[in-house]
Amino acid sequence: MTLRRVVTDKRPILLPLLLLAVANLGAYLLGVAPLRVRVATAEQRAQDAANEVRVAAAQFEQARATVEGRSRATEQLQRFYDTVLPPGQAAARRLTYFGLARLASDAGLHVTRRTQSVEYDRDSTLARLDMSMVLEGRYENVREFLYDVETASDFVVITDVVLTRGQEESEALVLTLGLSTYFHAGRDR
Amino acid sequence: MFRLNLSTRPFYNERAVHLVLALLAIVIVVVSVFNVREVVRLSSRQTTLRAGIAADDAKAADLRQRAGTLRAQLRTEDLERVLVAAHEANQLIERRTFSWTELFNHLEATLPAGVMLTAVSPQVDDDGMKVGLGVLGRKVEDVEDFIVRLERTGVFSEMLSQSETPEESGLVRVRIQGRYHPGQARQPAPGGPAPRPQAGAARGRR
Repeated sequence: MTLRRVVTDKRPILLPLLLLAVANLGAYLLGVAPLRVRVATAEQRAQDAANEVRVAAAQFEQARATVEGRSRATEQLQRFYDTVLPPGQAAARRLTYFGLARLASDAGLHVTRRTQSVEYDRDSTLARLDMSMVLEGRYENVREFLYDVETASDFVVITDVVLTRGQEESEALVLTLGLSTYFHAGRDR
Repeated sequence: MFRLNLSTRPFYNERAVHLVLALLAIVIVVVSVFNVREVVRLSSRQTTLRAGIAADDAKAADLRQRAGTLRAQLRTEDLERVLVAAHEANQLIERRTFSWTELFNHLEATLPAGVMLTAVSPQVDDDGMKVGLGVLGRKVEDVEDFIVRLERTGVFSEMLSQSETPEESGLVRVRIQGRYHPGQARQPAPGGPAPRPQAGAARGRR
């Protein structure tokens, strides 16, 4: 009985308060709650977009590294062909024919036979000049010659070493040596 | 004391009612403020996120396009040609830097009295370095002793006598093949790490 009297007496105040409460509830259900869902979705989408940026950046870095690596490798190969290897067949021939003969002579070895041939490989940009040398001398001279060849600045690779005894009762050994040098085939083909 | 209320509409406690109404009003105001602040905060956050997403999408698209442009510059055949050439050059450099002096120092240090070295041929392959040795021995046991000594150095492994041919002179010609690992000696080879030819080194001791 008293409550009904209170509600009746205080209606001018209670009614606006009630309307405000309903309006707040409506604002929460129709405004705040859906907005929260949309923000959560946008956060997930932003996370995905950031991941996509990371993946794309990694792909770009990989592509850039590959391009740079290729450029660097090409540059180093060119330097190798230009400054380390003989510049062409003529230089390679001079190197093996005269240079090695001089080293052998300096080491006290006697050259008895030499053969040379050039090999071109279709799958390679390099040509190979092979040389076979038959030398005679003492073992110490052989070791000295091998040391001189491997410490020389010229690009000569010793491929085979065959040692045989010379004549009986002699200290001389016969050294058959396989040697190779390489040059850029494009310049002589 | 005697109390008496003679009014037709009895009084009630208005102070308590006013207190309840005031509390209700405060709650409604607080909730309203919360709702307004949430709408403002969430709207602002949504705007920021949308801008970030758009920027990230644009950045990812740009990076993908630049990566595509770079890849287009790389022709597969060119790349393979460079790779093959680099592999070839590396193998040549490895063969060029091979130290025959170090190899001979190891061989001399392990060569038994009854064995003479006749041929040496190293080969670079993908697993490292193979070495083929030709020797002449008085007896097969001497050659076997040589193989054991070689492997004991730690520099040679998987040594195998591939062929044995008796010579007219009574010696045995043996072809040995195995793997060579320069620089892995358990004991340094005579001549040190940058070996020079040993003066007066024994050649095939017979």
